[in-house]
Amino acid sequence: MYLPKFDYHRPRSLPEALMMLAKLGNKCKVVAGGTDLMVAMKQRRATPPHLMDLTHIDQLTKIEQTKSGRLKIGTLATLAQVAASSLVQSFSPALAQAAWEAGSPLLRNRGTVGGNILQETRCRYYNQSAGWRKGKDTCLKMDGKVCHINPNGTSCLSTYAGDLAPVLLAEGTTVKIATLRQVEEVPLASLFTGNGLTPVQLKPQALITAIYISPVENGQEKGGIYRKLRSRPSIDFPLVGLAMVWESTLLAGQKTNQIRVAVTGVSSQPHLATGTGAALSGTLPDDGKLAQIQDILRNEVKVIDTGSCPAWYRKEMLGQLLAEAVDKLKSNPIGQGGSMHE
Amino acid sequence: MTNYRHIGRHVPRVDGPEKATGKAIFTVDVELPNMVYGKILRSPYPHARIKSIDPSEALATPGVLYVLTGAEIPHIRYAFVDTPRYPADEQPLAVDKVRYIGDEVAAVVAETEQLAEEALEKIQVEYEILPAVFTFAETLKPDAPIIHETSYESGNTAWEKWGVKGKWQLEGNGQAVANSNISAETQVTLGDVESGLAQADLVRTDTFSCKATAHCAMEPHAAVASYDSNTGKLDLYLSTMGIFYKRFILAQVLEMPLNKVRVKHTYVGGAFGGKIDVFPYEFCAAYLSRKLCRPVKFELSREEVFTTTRQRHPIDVTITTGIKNDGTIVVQDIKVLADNGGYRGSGPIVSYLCHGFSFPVYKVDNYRYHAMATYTNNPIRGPQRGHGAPQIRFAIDSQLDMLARELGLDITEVMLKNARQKGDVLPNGDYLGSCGLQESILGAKEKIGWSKIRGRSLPQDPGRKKRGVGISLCAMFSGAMYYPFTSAAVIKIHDDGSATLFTGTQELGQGAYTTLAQIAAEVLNLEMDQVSVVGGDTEICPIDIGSYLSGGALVTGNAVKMAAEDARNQILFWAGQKLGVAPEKLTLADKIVTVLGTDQELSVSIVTNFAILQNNGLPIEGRGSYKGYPETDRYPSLAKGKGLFTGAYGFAAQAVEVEVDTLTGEVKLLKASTHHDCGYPLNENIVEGQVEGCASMGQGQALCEEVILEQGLMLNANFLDYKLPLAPDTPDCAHQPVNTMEPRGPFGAKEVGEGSVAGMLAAVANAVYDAVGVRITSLPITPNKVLAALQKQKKEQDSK
Amino acid sequence: MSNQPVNLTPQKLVPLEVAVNNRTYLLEIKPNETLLELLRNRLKLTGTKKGCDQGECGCCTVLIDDEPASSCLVLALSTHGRKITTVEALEENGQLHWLQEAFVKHGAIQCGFCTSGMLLVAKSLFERNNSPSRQEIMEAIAGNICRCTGYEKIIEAIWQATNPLGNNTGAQLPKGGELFD
Repeated sequence: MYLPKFDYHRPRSLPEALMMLAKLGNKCKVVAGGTDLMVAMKQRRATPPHLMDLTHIDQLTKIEQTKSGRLKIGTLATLAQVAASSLVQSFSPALAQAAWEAGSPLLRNRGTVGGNILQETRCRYYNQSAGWRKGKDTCLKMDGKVCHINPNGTSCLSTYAGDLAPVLLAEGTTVKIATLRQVEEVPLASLFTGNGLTPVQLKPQALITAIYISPVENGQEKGGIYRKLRSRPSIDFPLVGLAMVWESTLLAGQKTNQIRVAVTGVSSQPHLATGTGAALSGTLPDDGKLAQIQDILRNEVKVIDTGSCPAWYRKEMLGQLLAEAVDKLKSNPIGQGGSMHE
Repeated sequence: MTNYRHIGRHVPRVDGPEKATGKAIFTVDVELPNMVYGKILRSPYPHARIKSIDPSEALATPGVLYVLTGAEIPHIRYAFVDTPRYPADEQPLAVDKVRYIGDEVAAVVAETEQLAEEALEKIQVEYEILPAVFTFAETLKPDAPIIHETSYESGNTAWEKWGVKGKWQLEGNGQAVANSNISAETQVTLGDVESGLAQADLVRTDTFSCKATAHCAMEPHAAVASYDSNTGKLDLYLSTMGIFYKRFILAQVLEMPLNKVRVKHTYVGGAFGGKIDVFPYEFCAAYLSRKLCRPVKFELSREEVFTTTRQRHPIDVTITTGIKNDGTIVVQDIKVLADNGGYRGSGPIVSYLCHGFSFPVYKVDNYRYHAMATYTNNPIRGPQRGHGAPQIRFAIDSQLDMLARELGLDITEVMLKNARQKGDVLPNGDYLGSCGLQESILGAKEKIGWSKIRGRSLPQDPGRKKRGVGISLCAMFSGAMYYPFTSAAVIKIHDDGSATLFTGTQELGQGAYTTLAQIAAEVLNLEMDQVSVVGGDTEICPIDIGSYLSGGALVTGNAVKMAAEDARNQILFWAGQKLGVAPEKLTLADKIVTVLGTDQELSVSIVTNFAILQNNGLPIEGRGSYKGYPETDRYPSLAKGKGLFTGAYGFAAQAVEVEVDTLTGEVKLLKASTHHDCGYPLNENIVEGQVEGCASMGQGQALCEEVILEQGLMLNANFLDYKLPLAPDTPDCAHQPVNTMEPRGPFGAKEVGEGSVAGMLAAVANAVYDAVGVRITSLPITPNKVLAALQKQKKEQDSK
Repeated sequence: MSNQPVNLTPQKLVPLEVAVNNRTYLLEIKPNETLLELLRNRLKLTGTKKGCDQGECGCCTVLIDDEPASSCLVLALSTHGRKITTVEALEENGQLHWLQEAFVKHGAIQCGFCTSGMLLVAKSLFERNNSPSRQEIMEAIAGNICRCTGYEKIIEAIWQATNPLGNNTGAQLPKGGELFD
């Protein structure tokens, strides 16, 4: 499968990249690891006239602690680097785990943080070659008129399946976005639209440069876990993925937790399950209460069937993943997000 | 055990270094001077009439050299099965209709691969979409659209050219059934089914179903054809399992004499049954090379490999089995429905083989079998490792587990009671000169820790994960009478006593070159590096039965052994002549002939020279051959199941331990132990590797592999969505050969490398039942199926 | 057939400097060329294979600055200034690399199509971890598909080569058979 033709640009620095983007605008797509975009281009789902290769901008690959003590991960840090970083592990064990769970070793060596966050949503009728898609009417995501998942519907139901995003949402991650004119820092959550057609809102002239995770506050202990339900032990996207992050404080002799839960692989955006997180926060739930909270999770999350694993099963499993996350919190609250081999 | 120099040992592969260094040339690596590239335009519709094809825009593009359509070659017809009853129904490019999504409509050739790809977009095809059918139920309805409307002319079929025109093939009206979506039918009756049912203490009827699966050979399908207009010679590089078969069919349809068509050696990056049918891209490469007088290369994309080469037949089996309280099976009534897709593919063969792989395992006196293969507008189905054995063994041994449990018996006891033994004569006349089933069952049972685990898991046990064990048996043929009906071998003894073996077999990864070299080196008593192998070339190698009939060890191995013995006999004869000693008093080792009991010796160099001088210049060359099955001239009757099938069967008992997660339904394969009777393993490491590969494929097809089709469209035609096992899925394996020393086989060897997929399926299903008490009767056994069954089970228990 | 000139370079070529197997090449290539195409079609290094062209099978694995990657997803131009290692670099002066020897010795090669990818992943693994466990080996090759071997002998070959008996410190035995008893 040959890639379509395009003009190639290789900026050496961030300002150079932003200048090119300002000029080319939406005629240009950026490529880093290529694990999402290259496949899309081979399948003619994306045919940008210009392609900007970010892989030679070294300053964007760094994983470091800022002066104010925050974790800063450059957008071009690879998933392999994030998974192996002891700094990431200390700030967010769930993030290190999610990075390790993504894809396969080969994909993790190329896939970047930015690319993983910004990946296109997926659907069994969309992620197909051009020749395959010829046999069916053009779908909404390809500027056509019909959704093959729900032929009576008018909105695109493609699913967001990135592994990092749920952890990052649960961590309250912020994102630095740069254009030639300005740099701003926004909550990661604000980027996701929930719209399968354009799942992420980012101006064509803008680049994510880094993500930030705040350190744990004094007197708090932090932990987290990412549980990925998958068909096979590698390569695969999550059937569903659940991230849970907790900060524990000792309050009048009792341990109290602030818990945030987020999921991926369910609908057109990664979803912060605020009701579930609130219900879990405070003191740890017993089994009876946990069953209720599992229902809260299943009710506040919409699970759409865009792959080949039925939605009822994935919805059921969300509750199971939550139970396992709670188990982890109970048994090993601090530090380790769980063995890499779970 | 016998102490051979090479046989039975772990001899490193002769093609190992070449493959390890990346030097091995596969068809996809072939590049010839002046070569151009072809791509195929395919139908996006499952069933449609072609109204018009307009290639003008493509042809007007600089660099595009030719567009071929069916209109230019409407008379070309071929198929894997081509008999009077089942005449060939495939054409390289569609003429009137397309019958499945991916059906070939046109072929483009251009200066570069990229130009060829772009040119496909420029060919305009007008279709009239026809109603399509995708399931057995739909396709057999009286008002279903007929997929092959005309009945093809027989009278000049491939099988008849091969002289195979048994009377029984022309029973009935001898014509293919026209105006029907039934593409093949097999019926066999033995004994008296009604009387069997009356004798039985327990009768069950159950239905089992298997989805289509994909071969997933890592090398994509490809072909390079190079026609020389001066010599009229066509060279072909095909990633294939049967060079002589392909040469025969292609030469026939191109109307070229066989001496002008040559398939040259390339290594094959896996096949598993998926590279034996003649494919349109192969015909197009050859035809277009001849037309353009330039080499032409076609390489399929992975998606094309998944959707437009072949898949395994999805099969429903409804089986009624009657059994006595002591476990004796007294009757079996089997109904098989196979979906062969838009063309007949190997439908008639799988219809036969589901029977062919049931009767060698259990002795059942009263037996009825009825199989139908149907046309649908799904992708074409063809041979895939086991070819009916996985589907039928899944049904038979799943049900046997159910029957044994109802009788309160252990399934292994029931198996031992009914399993075939050495000396059995099978209903079709095949004789079991060796059969290790009894030993295999006992071995597998012990190795998997049967008594420690079986039946220990109880529903009321606490604990999220539950373990269980299961077992299943399988059998596989060792070669059969299919074109070219024989394997031959030539061994040249060079002046210095080293040797070159010429064999028409192909190295697909199964270790053929190494194993055959071992046989030659053993008989000639040479070091392995003193024997070279030249294989895979129809011009310079003798004819060979091919690597798709599981005959590599028995048939080709015997031919090689005979050739080596012939060469050795010649060496000893001429040495005897020179020394004035009878050949029986001579031994041969490492290129030296020695008179027994003395230190009188002669180098083979001197012997070869002497032979040439004494024998009118005739050098020492050994020749050998082995008919696919000496006692018969033909393949069994596909429709009636009559006739000898194979000279020997490989057998296996496959036992597994699984762990079922009762909260997620996930099934993890913990351990797998295949006790396989391959007669005698010619190379213990290669044989073990073959069994490990088979077991892995069986694991995949039991637990996670399926071709997902929707209205004829494959939704998962890629390695992300088609779930074949990955390295971390590897279970602990302890596979064991059971040596029965097959009398027909070279050094006792017979089939290995195809059979041991089939026993994994029921073994896993039975182990799941043992663990959690749910019976999954449709493959693959996915977590959502298991969880749904567990939830249903809990509901039923709670309501009691 | 058209008689108009065929444009075999329909795009503006872009310069590329890349080291492949310790030799630096200066090239001018089309932007839409992948690293896999560069290696196989331009440099005629056919040891790296195309199994799926979509980054899902690992047959096209090469090392980019010593890290395994699927070359079918890498733009050739993005390897500017980088170091690429293919299977052809392993053999030296006609001598097999010790990993290649191990693969041949232990029967880790059947059809050979996945072999170059497996070898390079194993090489990279050893450079990071000089006594990997069976589990670590399985995880390292998790993105490389093999249909012939069932992975067992590949895992064993890598384990045996990287953990010669006696040097092994706590890693699991590779032969599952022993674990049965």
